[in-house]
Amino acid sequence: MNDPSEIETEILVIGSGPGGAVSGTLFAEAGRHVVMVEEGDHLALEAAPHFSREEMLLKYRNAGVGVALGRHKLAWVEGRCVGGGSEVNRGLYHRTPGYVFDDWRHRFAVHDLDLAGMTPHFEACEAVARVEYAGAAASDMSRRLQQGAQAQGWLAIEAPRLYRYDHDHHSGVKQSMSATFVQRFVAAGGALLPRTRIARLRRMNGHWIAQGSRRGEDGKQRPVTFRAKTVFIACGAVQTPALLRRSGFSHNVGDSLRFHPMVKVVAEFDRDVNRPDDFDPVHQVKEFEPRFGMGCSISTPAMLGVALSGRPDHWQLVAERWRRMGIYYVQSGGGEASVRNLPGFEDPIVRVRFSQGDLSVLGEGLRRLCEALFAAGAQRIYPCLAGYPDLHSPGDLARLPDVLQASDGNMTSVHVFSSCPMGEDRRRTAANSFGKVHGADGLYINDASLLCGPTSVNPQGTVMAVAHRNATEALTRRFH
Amino acid sequence: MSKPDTVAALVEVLVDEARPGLTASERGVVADYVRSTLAGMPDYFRIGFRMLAMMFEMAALPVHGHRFSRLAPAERQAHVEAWRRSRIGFRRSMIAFYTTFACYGLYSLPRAQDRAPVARIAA
Repeated sequence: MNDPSEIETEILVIGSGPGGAVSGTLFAEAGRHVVMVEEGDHLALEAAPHFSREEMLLKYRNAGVGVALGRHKLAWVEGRCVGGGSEVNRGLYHRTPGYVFDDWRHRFAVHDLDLAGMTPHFEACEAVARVEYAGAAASDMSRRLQQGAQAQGWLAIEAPRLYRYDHDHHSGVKQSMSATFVQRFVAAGGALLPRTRIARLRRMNGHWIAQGSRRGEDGKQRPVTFRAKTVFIACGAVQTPALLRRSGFSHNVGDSLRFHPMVKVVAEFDRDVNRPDDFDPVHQVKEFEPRFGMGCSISTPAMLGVALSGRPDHWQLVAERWRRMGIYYVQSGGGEASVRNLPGFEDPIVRVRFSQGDLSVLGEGLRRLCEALFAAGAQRIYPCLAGYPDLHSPGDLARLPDVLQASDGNMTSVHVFSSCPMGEDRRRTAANSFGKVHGADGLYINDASLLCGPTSVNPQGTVMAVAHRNATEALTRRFH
Repeated sequence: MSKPDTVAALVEVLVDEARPGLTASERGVVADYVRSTLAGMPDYFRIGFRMLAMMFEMAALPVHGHRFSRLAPAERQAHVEAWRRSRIGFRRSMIAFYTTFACYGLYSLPRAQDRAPVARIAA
C-alpha cells in the first residue's frame, strides 16, 4: 500500500496483538475489507534474541518501562510490534477455567459465556496457533518446581505453550500472532499498516474517523486519517482505555485495570538445573488458584543478574552459580488500577492500589513458594525483595513477614487486563457482552480490556478465544 | 561549560561495582542501552528522570565541591552510595532504576556479538 494520508475501509482494526490479529483475520477471511494498524514495527521473530536487551528496545512498549504508581508500585511490560504481547511472551497457554467464566457471567451479566460455549472458539484458535507440550524436553529448573510441589502434596502441572517443538533438533517455532494469524490476515487480503498510531476517534456522518500518524522509513511522523464504518479497538488493556478516553468515552473505561502481580525469588540448588539451550520453563503450581499461583521465570544470566542486582556480590554470584539457579514467582490477581491521560503527554498514567488483603495473599504465596523450592532441594533462596533475608532452610521461613513488604520494582506483572469490562450490567461495564461499546454504533473493543477480571491462568488463550467469539458474533449480526 | 553526562558517569559507577575490568567500548554499550531505555520510557517519566538526573548531578556540589560527573571515581561511588541508602524514597528509586537497567545491559554483553541484523518485514 502507498502512503496516502486518507484511507477509507469497511473495518478498521486498531492493534495487532492477540485480540486484533484474531479479529482482523476472521473479518478478512469473511471477505470484508479490513485495515489493521499497529503502532510498532513489523519485525521477524528472530529480529532480536528472545528476552534480550535488543528485544526490549525493539519490541516492547516504552523500552520495557511501565510503572503503575501508588504506595506499592508495580512494574509491567507490554509488547509494541506487530503481534503485540504474543511476540515477547513465552506463549504459555491455558483455556480459561470454567469458574472464571461463571463468575464473569454472574457478576457482570455477560450473555452466552461459559466453558462449553467457548470451547469451539478455543479450538478454532488452537487450529491456527498450535499449542504443544515440552514433555520430556522440559528443563530441570522447570521440573524442580513440580517436584517440590508434589513433595508437598500439591497439584502441579506442565503448561502447554503456543509453540511447535522440534524434539529431534531441540528447537522449535513460536506460535506468535505474526507467525500465525497475521500471516493468514494478509493472505486473506487484509491490509496491515505497522508504525501507525491512532490518536483519537470521532463520529461523522455515520462513519468513524480515526486520526493519527504514520512513521515513515525516514523516521518522520506524517498525519493519517482513516474513515471506517466499523472500528475494533484492540490496543491492549492500557492503550485501549487511553484511546477511548481521548475520544470522549469514559463510562467504566480505564477504571478497573487488573494485573497478575508477582514477586520472585532466586533458588540455588546443589547441582546444575539451568543450561543455555534449555527450552523456556513450563511448570506451574495450581494448588492454590485462584488465590495465587506459582511458576518458573526465564532464568538467563541477564535475568538472574537483574533479579539479584540489589546485592553487592551479584556479578560473582551469577558468574559462579547461574547454572544452579532458577527464578520462580508467585502471582495473584490482587490490586486494581486506573488508566488516565495526562494533558500534554502521549503516554497514559496508571495508578494502582493494593489492599492489605492483597498483600497478605502474596505474603502467604511467597512462603508457600519457598516451601516448595526447599522441598525440591534448594540450598539457598534469595527473595527478590529489598530488605528480605536470604533463606538457608525451611526454618528460615518464619523470618518472612506475613504481609508482603514490597518496595519499588519488587512487584511486577506481564499480564494486564479488565480496563473496559464487557457485560450487560451498565453500572460496571464499558461494552456489551460481545464488546460493542455502550452507546456507540459500530465501535467495538476486542482485547484483554474486555475481560471482567483476572483469569488466574496465563490470559492469552482467553483473549484470543473471547476475540474469536466476539468477532464471530459481529459477523453474524452484520455489525449491528 | 560542557553539558554534564550524568548518565554515563552514573553507569560507570554501577559497572565498576560489578565488573571493574570492563573495556571502555563495553561500558559505552551499557551506557547507550541505559540512554535508549530512558529515551523510550513514558514521556512523563522521562521528564521526571531528567529532573532527577539534574538534582543528582548538582547534589554532589555542596558535599564534594564539584558536580557528580566531575568527581573522582571514589567520590562518585560515595555519592551513589549516599543516594542508594538515602531515607528519601525517590533517591533510592532512582538508583534502583539505573542499577536494574545497567545490570541488564551488563549481563547482556556476551550476547551482543550474536545479534542478528534487524529484519523489518515490508508492510
